[in-house]
Amino acid sequence: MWRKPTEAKPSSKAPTAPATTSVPAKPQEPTAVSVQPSPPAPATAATTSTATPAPIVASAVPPIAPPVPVASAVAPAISAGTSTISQGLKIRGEITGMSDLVVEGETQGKIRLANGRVTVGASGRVNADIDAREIVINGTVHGNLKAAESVRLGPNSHVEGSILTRRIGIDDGARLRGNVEMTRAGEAVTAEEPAVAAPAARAASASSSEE
Amino acid sequence: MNWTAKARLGTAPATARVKPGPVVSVPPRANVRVSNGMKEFLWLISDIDRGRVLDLGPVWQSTINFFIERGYRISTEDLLRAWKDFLSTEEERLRQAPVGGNGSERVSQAALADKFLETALQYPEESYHGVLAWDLFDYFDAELMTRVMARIFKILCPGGAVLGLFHSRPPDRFHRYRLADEQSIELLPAPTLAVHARVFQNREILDSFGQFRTSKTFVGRDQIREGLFLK
Repeated sequence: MWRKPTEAKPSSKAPTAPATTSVPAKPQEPTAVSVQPSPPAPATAATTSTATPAPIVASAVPPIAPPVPVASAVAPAISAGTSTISQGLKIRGEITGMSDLVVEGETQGKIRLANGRVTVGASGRVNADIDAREIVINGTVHGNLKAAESVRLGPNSHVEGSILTRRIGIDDGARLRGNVEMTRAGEAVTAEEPAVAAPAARAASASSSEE
Repeated sequence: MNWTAKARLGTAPATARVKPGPVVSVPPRANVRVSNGMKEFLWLISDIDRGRVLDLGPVWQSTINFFIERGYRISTEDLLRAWKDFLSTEEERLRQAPVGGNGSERVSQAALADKFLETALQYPEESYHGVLAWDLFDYFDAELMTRVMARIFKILCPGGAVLGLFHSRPPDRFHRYRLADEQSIELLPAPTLAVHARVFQNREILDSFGQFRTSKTFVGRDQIREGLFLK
């Protein structure tokens, strides 16, 4: 009566196809909020340090299948440069463009860098949905994350919102409240449905309406 | 106990099923426990195409990978940490409230639980096929536990399952849990987030989950009981 099936579920559902597609570069959109581009060298160094490929899970137990190496997400990105929202700076509105972005301050609104990498630093606080090629979180985000390639949650990250991406890396200590959904190679990164309400989205909208 | 929620027809012969295969990838370790409850939980949700699972513990890469690779959609909400954060915020609010003014009133456990659940566990009804509660219930007071159970019941689809852990004695230390494989749970020592509130008797557990259709308890050698409840 209590026999357990041994047959494994079809593995065809596993979205583990190698990441080979690249997001076609979109024409540069008008940037609603201009951020001061910083010199590439220091900014890149800072970004690299925050996104250094850490062990995805510090565990002696091997996972069922090896996690997709999100470390590749920190490979140098082809972009116009890196912009930084420094600590102490607050920006409200929509941020769009082609460059990479490092957020160490606070942003509210929307971040869309279709071909760029968004890094939320340890002191960064984002109340916005983020849509980018790569997303690295080390701070706090209230909003949905949509990445064409990868999302990495650092050990001190705190995310409230849904994640939609092809690859995900989660360090021990990361905090996430929301859905995780994976897309497969070649699949458009479009949110299928937020059938399960993203609490973060509500939180973000609530906080933005407060101000 | 009636546990006929899922037809087991058309499966392979029993001899094939009980034969140990080479799939167990986790070497025996002190902090890994075999979980029959998890095995049963996974079996119960295995037929659902792109099923939804809610993990009420901290987010772990291995747990996320496990479900994603099997085609599930997974959500996480660390309810115990959220409860702790909520209590800290409330404590701070009360501390700063002027004496005799609004906010300095005595707060009942029931009121706290209601307020907490205004922001926590906010999901549409019948939106999940499985909920991993780990050892949440042992750490909640009775008021919150009752409400959380009721909320979980609401957000579960008919036929959905909840897996909860219950200690037979107060645990020596606080652990978080993550999935190691289909039948193993890894216990990770962690800083204490909450004090173990109570030890449930089996009857109390069954009574608490009375609104669920069926339930089953697995007792481990480590004095942790796994309760599996089916809506």
